[in-house]
Amino acid sequence: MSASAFRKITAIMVIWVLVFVAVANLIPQVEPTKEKIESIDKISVATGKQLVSTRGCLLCHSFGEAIRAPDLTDIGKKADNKVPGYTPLDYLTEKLLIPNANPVAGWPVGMMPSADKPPAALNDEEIAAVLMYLESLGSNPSSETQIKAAIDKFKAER
Amino acid sequence: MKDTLLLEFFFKKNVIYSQFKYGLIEMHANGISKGVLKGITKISAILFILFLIYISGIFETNESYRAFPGIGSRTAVWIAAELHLLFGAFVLAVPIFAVISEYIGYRTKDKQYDNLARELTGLLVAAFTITAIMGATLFILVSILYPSFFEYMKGIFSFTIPFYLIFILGEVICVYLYRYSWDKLQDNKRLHILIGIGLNVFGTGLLIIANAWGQFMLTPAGVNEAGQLVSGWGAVNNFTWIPMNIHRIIANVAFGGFIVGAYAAFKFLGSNTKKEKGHYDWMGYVGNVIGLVGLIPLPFAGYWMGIEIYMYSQQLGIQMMGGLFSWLFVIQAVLIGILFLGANYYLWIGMRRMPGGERYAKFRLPLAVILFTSFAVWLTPHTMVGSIEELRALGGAYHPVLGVFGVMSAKNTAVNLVILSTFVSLILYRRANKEAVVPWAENGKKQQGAIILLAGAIVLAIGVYGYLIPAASRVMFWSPIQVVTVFSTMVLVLVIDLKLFKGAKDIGPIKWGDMPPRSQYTLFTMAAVATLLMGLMGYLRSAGRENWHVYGVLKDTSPDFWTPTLGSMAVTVSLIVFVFYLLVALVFWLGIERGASTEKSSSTSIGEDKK
Repeated sequence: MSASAFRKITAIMVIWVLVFVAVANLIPQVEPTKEKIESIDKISVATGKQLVSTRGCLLCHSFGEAIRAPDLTDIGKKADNKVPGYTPLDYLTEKLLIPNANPVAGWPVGMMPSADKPPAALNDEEIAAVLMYLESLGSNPSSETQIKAAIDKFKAER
Repeated sequence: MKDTLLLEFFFKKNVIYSQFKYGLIEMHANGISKGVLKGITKISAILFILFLIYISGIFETNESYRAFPGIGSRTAVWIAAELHLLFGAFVLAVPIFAVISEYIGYRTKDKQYDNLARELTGLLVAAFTITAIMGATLFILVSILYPSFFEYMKGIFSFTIPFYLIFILGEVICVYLYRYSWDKLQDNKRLHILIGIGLNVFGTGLLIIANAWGQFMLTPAGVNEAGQLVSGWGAVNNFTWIPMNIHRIIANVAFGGFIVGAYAAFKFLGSNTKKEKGHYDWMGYVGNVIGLVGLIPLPFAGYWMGIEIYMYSQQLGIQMMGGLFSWLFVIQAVLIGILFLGANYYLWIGMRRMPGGERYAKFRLPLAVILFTSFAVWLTPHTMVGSIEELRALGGAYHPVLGVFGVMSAKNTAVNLVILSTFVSLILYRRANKEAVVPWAENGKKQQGAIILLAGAIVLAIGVYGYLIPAASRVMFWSPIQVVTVFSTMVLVLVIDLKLFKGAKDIGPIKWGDMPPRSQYTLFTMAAVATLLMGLMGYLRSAGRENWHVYGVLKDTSPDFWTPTLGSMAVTVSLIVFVFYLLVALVFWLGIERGASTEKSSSTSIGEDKK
């Protein structure tokens, strides 16, 4: 093989590798969360927001347009009276822990996994933080004690 | 010896037995057993070292993880696993190619096919050794760096290990037997082909067992909520095991075709005589066609696997295809686009060496337009991933303008049109230097054209209808109808084509070797891009689990649990591909050197093969 042909083959390999690297770097990069959330320090709206962003909730839910699952805009307000006799906290807690109970009209049943099961696999503190954040969207969140009581209640109902 | 069909050959046990017995005696007398023993010793040494490491307990620890210096454990395992997988694909793909080629040569008495198979087999020995070394490296790295995960997997799959070892032994014996008995069994081709089939059976068996391990990590089954084993068969036969087996076997055929194409191009560019150029041009063409034959059904096999992932877990499916990794499919579309365009381009250039090929030049532009437009649709992103603020600003996760092309209905339509267009290129290539002489020739061609146009219209109509119906109905019914339409069209048109060109008049012989260098660089491009694509999808299978070793069962709590970005993935995959091709160059070189030395030592028998 001539030196020129060898150089061209090498150049072709390098060009395609560079195209690959360039395309992969030009498209938006989703930076993963490197910090582990083994246990959260504080049950707060901010922690809940971080968990909603990083634990896959937004794969299906969104803000402004319902695609695969109900829209979360002002969900704290919209959750009121969705099910007769339920407070927004009851409704949201049930949705996280027993998602197929009282299904939302127009949405398929069985799509959402319980928040404490894989893939999200949130612990009680994390669920409480998520509930606090969701309630804060359009309304005032309940206290930590109330949220923990709601979690215990719906876990017992399963 | 009476010429029988291969199937008949399989079922005549007495023939197999007597040939096997005769062959063993003959092989012993010819010293073939030396070569085989050398191979077995080499692989056994690697296995023995692994066994010693395993029983010695020198790496036992109470820690769940160990750190690999510099690049981290995840990247170290990634590199070893990917290189092992690439070489595994190589040593599985080449024998499929070689045995088919040898069989065609045996049936048609065309020595060119036999020479092709023989030449490819020369590459196997070195490639097989590298595969084994990479596999051993992977085993050592996983057991040292991820001990708790290793123990867990061992607990689930220990019953598969004896089968794996038997298959390794079977493959080793067959690889070396197939390689070293080539010249000596020239008069006993059936036995040699049988050994080649055995090689493929053992190789595929290894692939299938390893797929069970890998796919269990993605879609675990056969375990309870605590991750304890309930059913060993259930763990093996997990949701994505069968689709992955099919996907990888087809992909290996395609990969084999592209690698053979690259090898032929490598030799073509180095050839000094017209005869050699002709041979390697023909080899490159065969490689490209086989690559295409594997490539065409691959998107459908991938689609099936996608459905299985969704059926296993909606969240996993969405995460892999619509969420975090949705942009990965843009890169995938670019790479597959290059593969299909490259294959078509090579065919179009190839038609120039066929007298009469110019009659079909008018189809190039419309085909190119369909291909490029389809790819533009295919690489349109679907869901935009972003922060809560970004998604709010965008008004949702769909792009307001491009979103309409980003949905699966449009993408499936695009893929089907790409496949149909590529099939048209193949059909045109087939007839480039032929003229049909059957009385119904003109009508037959019109019927073929009408069938293809009708299929295109049906695919498009279903694509538009797909926007109006629920996703479940589209995914489970209408998209498969698109696939069936395209496949049945290909079968029907091909059947008509075979009858149409039976006894056709040759306008002129194909001028093998009369190809510009750019055609050979296209073959290199396809091999390189196919390898990058394998690296990309390997990343997806692993990264798609995110922070789980075994999805939903065993969490990754190591310091490397995070998922690398697509940008950093591309750098790692590129480095792996670069190392892979350096090693492939070594394999090519060793194959050529060994081929040359074998030719010298047995010039009489091989000299007869050379035209």
